[in-house]
Amino acid sequence: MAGQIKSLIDTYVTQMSKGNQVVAKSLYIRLALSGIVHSKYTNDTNDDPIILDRLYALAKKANIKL
Amino acid sequence: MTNIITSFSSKRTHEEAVTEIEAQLSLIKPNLVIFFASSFYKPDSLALRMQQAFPSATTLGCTTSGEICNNNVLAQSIVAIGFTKEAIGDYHVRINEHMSTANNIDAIFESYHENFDESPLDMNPKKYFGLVLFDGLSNKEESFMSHIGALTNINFIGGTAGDDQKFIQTHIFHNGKAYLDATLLMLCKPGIPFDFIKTQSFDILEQSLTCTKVDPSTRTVIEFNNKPASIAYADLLGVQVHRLADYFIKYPIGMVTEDELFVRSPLTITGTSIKFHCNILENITYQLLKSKSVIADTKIAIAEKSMTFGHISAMINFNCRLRTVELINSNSLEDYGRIFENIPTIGFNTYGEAFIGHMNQTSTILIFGSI
Repeated sequence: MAGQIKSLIDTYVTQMSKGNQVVAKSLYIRLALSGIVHSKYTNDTNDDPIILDRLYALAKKANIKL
Repeated sequence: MTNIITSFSSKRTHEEAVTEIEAQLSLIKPNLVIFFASSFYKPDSLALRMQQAFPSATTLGCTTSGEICNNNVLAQSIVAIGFTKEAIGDYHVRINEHMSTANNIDAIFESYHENFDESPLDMNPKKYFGLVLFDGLSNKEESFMSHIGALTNINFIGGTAGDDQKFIQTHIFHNGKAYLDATLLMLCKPGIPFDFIKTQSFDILEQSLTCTKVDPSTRTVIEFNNKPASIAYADLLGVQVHRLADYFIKYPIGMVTEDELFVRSPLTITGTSIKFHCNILENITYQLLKSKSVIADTKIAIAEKSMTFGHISAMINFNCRLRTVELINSNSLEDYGRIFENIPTIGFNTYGEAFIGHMNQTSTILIFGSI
């Protein structure tokens, strides 16, 4: 499959930031600083299971369902 | 009435120095005292004496690699800031001991939930801020900041403790004790407005390095662009490898994301590998940077923030020690101090700066308004 990473990043940031654009920007930065650079991912990017696992783990810590 | 007061002392014994600071800060009967001290002073004795000086206050801080108080850029001194209960009355401080091997961030955030009766996930970043002080030799700042960011949207700002560039031992202080290998985290709901400044002074150049092999445990890059790291870096700068380290402070690298720059500074060359002050991530591209005026950019950053924030009544400045090296090299240390002469300020020269993540050659500043 492809495109899951971009979708999960966007869902995580939207839910974590609760619509606050300043917080959303900080969240994208935090992800990038940990190696998940959202601009690198498109709907066609192959799903990397390691990145997917990291995103699910982040969501779990924040009680977010992806 | 003044709710925030700063002080410093360069007296040679911790007894004399703390007595001098006590006399000045006691004017406002502080509820919280934050202090930064040279490793010149004996940490255990200093921590105890500071708590004895302010028995009804929380005292916290760390050792440094140089200190800042108002317009004074100092060495081998102690700087302190005191807050009244009205300014900062609602806060919770926790120490993560043995941070090299133990990460207690989850438990610490549970304690925040209990203390403030609100989940850190739901806290409003406009009402709360966090302060973080890291041990200077743990190399764990990135993982801790990432963990904190996963549990809250509150901004944590701070720095990494120093030891006057000996790189042997750094200490974190809290309520009369000095801790090795520790992180201090304070979550705070202040009674005064606050905001943050992050400033670094670099042009972002077109050239870049992609990390292709790294040892994250030691922050060592083995390869950039599939070449030995030092050879790739030297080629990019057009300098000989044996001269490369001379260019590190002026030409570090940085990650640019969301229009923000996060500087990563090289430390030393070992063989053909390069050890950094920050983690460098594999398969991530870093831009080459060129330093410019710290003085001019800091002035602009403070002026721009003042336009939106209003009057700044006090600051805590976490300023990278490498910026101070640049200021010394350019004979600009006094000019840097003058930037803060009208704003009560304390700060210290750090081994790393924290805001959203961990970074180098940056100044992260916590600013306060008035009641």
